[in-house]
Amino acid sequence: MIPPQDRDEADKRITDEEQREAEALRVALETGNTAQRDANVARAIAAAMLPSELTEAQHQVAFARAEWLTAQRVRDARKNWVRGFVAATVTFSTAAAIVLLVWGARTSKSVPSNGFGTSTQSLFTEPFAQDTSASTERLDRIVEARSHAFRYQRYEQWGVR
Amino acid sequence: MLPRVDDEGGRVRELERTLVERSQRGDRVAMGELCKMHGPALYRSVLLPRLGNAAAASDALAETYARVIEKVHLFRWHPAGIYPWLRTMAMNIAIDHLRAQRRWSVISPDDLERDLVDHDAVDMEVELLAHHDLQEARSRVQTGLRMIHPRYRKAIELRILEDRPREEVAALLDVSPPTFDVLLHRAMKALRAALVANADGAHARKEARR
Repeated sequence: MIPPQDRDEADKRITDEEQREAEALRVALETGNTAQRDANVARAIAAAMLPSELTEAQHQVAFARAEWLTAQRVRDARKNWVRGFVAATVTFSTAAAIVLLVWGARTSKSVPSNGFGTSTQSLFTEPFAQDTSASTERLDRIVEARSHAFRYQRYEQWGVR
Repeated sequence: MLPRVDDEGGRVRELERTLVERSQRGDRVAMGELCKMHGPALYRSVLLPRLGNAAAASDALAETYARVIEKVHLFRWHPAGIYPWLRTMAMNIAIDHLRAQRRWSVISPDDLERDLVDHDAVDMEVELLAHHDLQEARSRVQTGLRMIHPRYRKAIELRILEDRPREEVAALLDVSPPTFDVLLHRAMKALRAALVANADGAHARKEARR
């Protein structure tokens, strides 16, 4: 408990909140608690005014930690490189697969240019008689032309032409 | 005959240059020697006064050593030696630490960054540079202490800087220990405000000069 004669320190009344904060500062200074703001300020000004020397043990610990940190970063960099390489390979492979699929699909769908049309006009230069006896000859000519075109395209696809 | 100071300095600089060259070739022992040569000055003059506690300063020192190991091959020899290069690295690490931790510090990270940019310290000798760095932090605190109530200043000097026991300081200031706790609490609050005001004023003066 604060004696009455001390309560007007610096012409200010001591509030309950101040008393609580003062007690927290005292405890933090005595226990080394780093969560108390004023205790940290106190340590900071002491470090600024009278900084301690670096001991041999502190140097050794810091250097060993630095070597560990450096090795860790090299490992991380390697891991990242491998990850990047794998990602690039997968991306490239996927892109290549897509290209092959598209190209393959186009190739399989495409009809080699063979000059054969689907029109039958070129097969008949003269007009046919309007009776049914001419139908067979007309159909034969179409069948022959289509068979020729079919064989031509098949040989083109097989690559044997 | 004792060697002249200049001869001694020259020999140290030659040794340092040899250590740098060996470190650049990947010699781990030389790197350890180089760090041992300058680590104490970096810790005591640059890191501890700016970071404000031993744990943070030790972490920052380890990080500084790690960056030296990684980047020493980039260093080009300078007549002032490697210390100014190491100091800049340590300062930048201190700035990063302060910004990441968001803790109160005698010199704010913004002020540190401004000082680093404003002062070209590359040609200063190690001792002068270390002294300059120490003095910079000390003068901030001293200015703050001059701005507060004399009784508050006394409380801080005795309890915090001289690390005297609470009861002893309370007796010296003629108050009870619980009252001294309140006095110290008020003193710390006043000092914090004074340091902030002083830093803001210094920044405003610098800006006005530009």
